[in-house]
Amino acid sequence: MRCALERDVSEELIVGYCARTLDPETEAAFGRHIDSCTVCCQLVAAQKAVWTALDGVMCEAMDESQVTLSPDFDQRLFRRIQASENRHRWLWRALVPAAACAALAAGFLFRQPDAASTPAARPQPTLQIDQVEHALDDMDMLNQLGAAI
Amino acid sequence: MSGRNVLVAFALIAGLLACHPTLLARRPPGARAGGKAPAATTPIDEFERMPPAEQQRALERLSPGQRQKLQERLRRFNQLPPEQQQTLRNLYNRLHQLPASQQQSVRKAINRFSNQVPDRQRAMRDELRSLAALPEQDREARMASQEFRNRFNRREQGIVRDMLPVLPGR
Repeated sequence: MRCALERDVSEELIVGYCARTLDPETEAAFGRHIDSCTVCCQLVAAQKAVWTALDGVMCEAMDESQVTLSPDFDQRLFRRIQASENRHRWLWRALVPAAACAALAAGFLFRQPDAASTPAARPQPTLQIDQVEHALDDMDMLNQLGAAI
Repeated sequence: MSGRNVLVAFALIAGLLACHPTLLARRPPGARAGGKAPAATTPIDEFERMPPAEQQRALERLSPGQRQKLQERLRRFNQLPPEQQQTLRNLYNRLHQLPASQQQSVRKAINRFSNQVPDRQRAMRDELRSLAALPEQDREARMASQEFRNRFNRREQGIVRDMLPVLPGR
């Protein structure tokens, strides 16, 4: 079953009706409408239920007798903030040296295979033999200048 | 971050750099930390300073014929008088400090030099020896002089000019 009113109009009327913010004529007219419209009737009931529940919560929270602050509320709040900051500071103090140690250990481990290389994986000499050959070529070439320079 | 943490971070980076083998390995021959090569160190010197086992391992990459030829060339180099060896090391290092294009010009000039007749080679050697004794600004003046232009033809002037970069600075 569908409501004959436009959806936006009916929502606005339902909210206004429940909040009792409609002008008397509109309220009366909408009251007559919900008598004949099951959809709007159900929506009004649901809206009222929500508002009733919210009213209960708000009343509890706003009841000053239940939210009185203890005299040392501020002190306890600042102590807790301080404690939280200290916990972070300790975390950093512990983490940075630990990270340094871990990185040094990792560097050492990277270096290990170089020191303990097997013959099969033995690194090639840094100096390549073709560099020696090229140097000898250059020496032969430069030697043509004799003792000129 | 506190000062202590900054110090720890620096120590951490320094430690990693010091430990990491790939950051320090494979420098060009003759190169040293600090960027300045020690005087007259060449791949030949580096090879001869290597332990015999390492030399052997390097030579294993050559065929027996190439190995024998290389060893013969090394022997001939080592038989040169020490002063001549030192001069060649100095020339080699100066050549290798030049940009690649300039190295190429020097090589071409030496090649052209070797194609000259012996007495022209001698004349150019003498000129190079004189130029080597001059401060750098005086070298240009000498090469612009009438005497220089009268003594050498254009080709020879070019050879001398292209060889200038390997002359020692004064």
